[in-house]
Amino acid sequence: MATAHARSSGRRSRRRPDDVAGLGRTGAGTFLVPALALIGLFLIFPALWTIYLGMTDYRLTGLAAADPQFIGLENYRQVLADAEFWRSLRLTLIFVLGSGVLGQTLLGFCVAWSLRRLPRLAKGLIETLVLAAWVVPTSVGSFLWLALLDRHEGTLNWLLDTPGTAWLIEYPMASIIIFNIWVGTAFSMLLFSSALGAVPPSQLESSRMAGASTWQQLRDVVIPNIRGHILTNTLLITLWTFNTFTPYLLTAGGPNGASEILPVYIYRTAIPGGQLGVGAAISLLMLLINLVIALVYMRIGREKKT
Amino acid sequence: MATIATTTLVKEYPGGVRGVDGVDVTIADGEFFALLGPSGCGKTTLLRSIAGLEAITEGTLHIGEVDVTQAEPGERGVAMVFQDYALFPHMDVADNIAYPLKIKKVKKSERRAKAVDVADGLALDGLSLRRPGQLSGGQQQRVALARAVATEPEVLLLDEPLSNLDARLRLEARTFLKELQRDLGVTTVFVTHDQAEALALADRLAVMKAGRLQQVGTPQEVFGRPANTFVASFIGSSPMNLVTTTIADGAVPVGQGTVPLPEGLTQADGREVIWGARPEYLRWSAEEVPVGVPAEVSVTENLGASALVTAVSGQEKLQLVVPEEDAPGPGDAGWVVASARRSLLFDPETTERID
Amino acid sequence: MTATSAARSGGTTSSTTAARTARKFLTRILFVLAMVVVGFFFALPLAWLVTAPFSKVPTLTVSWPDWTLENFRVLTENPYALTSIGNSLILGFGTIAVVVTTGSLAAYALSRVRIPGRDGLLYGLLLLSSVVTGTAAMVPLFQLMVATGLINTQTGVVLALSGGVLPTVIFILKDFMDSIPKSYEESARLYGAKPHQILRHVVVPIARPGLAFVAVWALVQVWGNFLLPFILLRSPESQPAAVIMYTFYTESGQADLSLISAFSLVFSIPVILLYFLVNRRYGFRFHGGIKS
Ligand SMILES: Nc1ncnc2c1ncn2[C@@H]1O[C@H](COP(=O)(O)OP(=O)(O)O)[C@@H](O)[C@H]1O
Ligand SMILES: [Mg+2]
Repeated sequence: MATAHARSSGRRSRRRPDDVAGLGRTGAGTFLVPALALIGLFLIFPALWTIYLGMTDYRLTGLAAADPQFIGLENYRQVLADAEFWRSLRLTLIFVLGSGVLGQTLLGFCVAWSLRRLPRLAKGLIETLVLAAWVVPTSVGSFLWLALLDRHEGTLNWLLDTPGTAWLIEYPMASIIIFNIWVGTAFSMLLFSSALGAVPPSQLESSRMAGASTWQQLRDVVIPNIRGHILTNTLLITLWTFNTFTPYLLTAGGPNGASEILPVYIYRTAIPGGQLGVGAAISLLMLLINLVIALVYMRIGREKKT
Repeated sequence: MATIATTTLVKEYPGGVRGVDGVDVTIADGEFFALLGPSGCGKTTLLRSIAGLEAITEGTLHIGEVDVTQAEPGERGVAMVFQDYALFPHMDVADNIAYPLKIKKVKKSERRAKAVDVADGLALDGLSLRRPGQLSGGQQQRVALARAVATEPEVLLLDEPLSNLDARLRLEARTFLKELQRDLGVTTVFVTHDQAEALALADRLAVMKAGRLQQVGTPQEVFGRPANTFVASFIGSSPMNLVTTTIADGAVPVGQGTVPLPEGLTQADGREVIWGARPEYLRWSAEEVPVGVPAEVSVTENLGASALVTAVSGQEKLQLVVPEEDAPGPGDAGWVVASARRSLLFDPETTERID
Repeated sequence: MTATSAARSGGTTSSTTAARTARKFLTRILFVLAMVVVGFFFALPLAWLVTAPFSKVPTLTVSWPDWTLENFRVLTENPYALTSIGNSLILGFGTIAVVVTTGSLAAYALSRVRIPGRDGLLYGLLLLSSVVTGTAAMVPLFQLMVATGLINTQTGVVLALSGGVLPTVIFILKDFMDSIPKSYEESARLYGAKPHQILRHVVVPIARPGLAFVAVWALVQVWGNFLLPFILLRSPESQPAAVIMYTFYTESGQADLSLISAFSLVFSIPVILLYFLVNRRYGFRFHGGIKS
């Protein structure tokens, strides 16, 4: 039986695939096609189209809506000269640093670390709460925060006995930063829980036997072991935070643009503002900034390894 | 069943590492053949090339007269037991054993029956509903074997199947494996880095180093007449004594004494050679002997019924195995005596044995 | 107190042990306190979600509920509320189906075959996905849907959402599949299994925890996604809960808290339930992702 098979295949002159699944390049290609087609059509195409749109005076309404003109880099000149863009960029960086890198990553790590020393019940409770905040649909989550921070009936004012404090107006950036920490910490917590679970217990034990403090254990054993996780987590969190539109549901960028992070700025320029071409130009700038961030992270990751 | 024959088989990994570098070997039908060598010498690569899991870079591979160099693994009639057994964690024992039959489209009831049958034959009765995670190491190993033989393959490949078992279990499994192979009569290639295992199990064995075959032969040949100094020091539970020296007065000077030239060999005075003798073939004498090496014992290691004695003579260290009751203690002086029938000479340049 | 007095009266050794016990006790207290604060921080906003729907006259302030189901009756009378949940289910499970099948095929190929430029491709897509699914691609996506006639259809939204989440899905799944020992597939292959059989019989069952996580993750993304369906679906009958919810608190001048509170809860329960079921059964594992 097997012999007969072998004989017929021996005559075929193709090279045998050299991977565990026997897929070969062509097989792998076939497996990739459906996903790449979807991604190409609904991700890459819009991205490329954005480049083109960014160089036109395309508008939502009026003459330029029917017949957009190619205007080269004019949009970019306009955006880069716009003080609002620079303020928005600055706010975005604060937002990303505060809620993403510091907030979610750090809090997520601390929670993941602490959960390991909590009794079962408390562990389950905290984990559930953190995860629930993440899983609840964003439109519900943002309404919950609107209710919590409401000027007149908000629970926070009632708890702190500060009636009439309009948190979203007086502290808009702090509000959306804390909101975003609340929403997103779960991902880092999950990721770091999984990472900490994979740190060899023998290494931790031997460092403890050498008398290392918690801090020293973290620095000498845990961090080196989970460097890859830290990097992936920070990269993903940074990109996600950079591009999140949800804070719009809380402050709508206000008051007076005091919490207008880039995605909100784009939305306001493109849809209510009607300048689709300019919106596309800002989108592209944002993509470039993201690219730079990603490259920096990769470089850090590679350097640490050697 | 089937013979296996390779001609100048080369497997080059991307990056240029040659895992197997020009191997010519023919394995007879029904033979129990061991591939032996230190870690990283290319045993697994050769085995996987035979299985078809690695694409062969150069050379040819025949299994039973058929050129299978380019054939898919599933078309070669081979079965393999992996070092980590690779039992599917989501299937019970019977499904694991029956998996090859599932691929061959055997009906479910029929293949479960066959699986239970094979399992019973391998002392796995009553375990067919367990998952691999619920089995001991020895049981897992037998399930992996059962899965491999359930298809009645022409060739059975085993990659260090015993190395994950503890020492006692390993001896049991070794005997079990030998019996199984004899009953099935299937051509078997067995990879191991443990020379004792290879000597005990194999009809013939091949010693490998850096992707090349060093020697192919029966256990007696490889143990008694190693082809070069590498094989000489790799085979044996304690390595062969190897001393570089220069022939003088028709004898071989070693340390502060001499040993006789090996039987049947004549060498010109002044030729540089490596003299070799296994510790088991050296003798200890407390009284002076006409031809021997005066030495002082530095360490005595107990091996149970015998002792491994390390004796120093001048610059040379010699090891010899002595029956327990005759073992000298550290500091004792005496003579190491070699037999002409049981010693060898190697060429220091090529490291090959001189015949 | 006891610690300090013990330190004064005792000798040097006992005073240091006492000080150490005191410090240990103090850190323990601080630790518990910190955990309470963290728990409180995450629980506080959620409190409204579980109390208000059961209050006779819900207000924005958290208060002890009267355990009435009246608000849910109001909900069933709203013409869009329940259909919108149905629409969310269609979008969610449609996207899961598309993303898990195409994503696992792609992740498997990327995990097992050395395709030139593989890592670059993966990171490039990941980068694009986080940017383009946001506001940036609204206009081109809208134009694309109009051009292909998929505007105002659930299919269009499912496809667009799938394109957006696929890179992350592939990334997570590839990380998971990289950790599956290759010998499983090799042994299946030795017995003659074809790639699609290896995938069905071996890889998918072993990767099930990863697939489940990815499915739930995708559902969470889709369930809460507001922007895409808001732009691509114009008729209220086909809009999902995320969009309807938004209209509930923006369109009527005075927000109807009975409706909003009950709706929020009904809208949240499916994802929360599914998430905890999957998490309980499989947990979450991640192996580092960035290796190269
Ligand atoms: N996938 C691979 N890619 C590159 N080199 C490899 C690969 N697998 C094995 N090697 C190299 O090939 C040589 C032989 O390896 P192997 O056959 O596994 O040795 P053994 O089984 O005898 O310990 C080693 O030097 C090893 O580093
Ligand atoms: Mg090996």
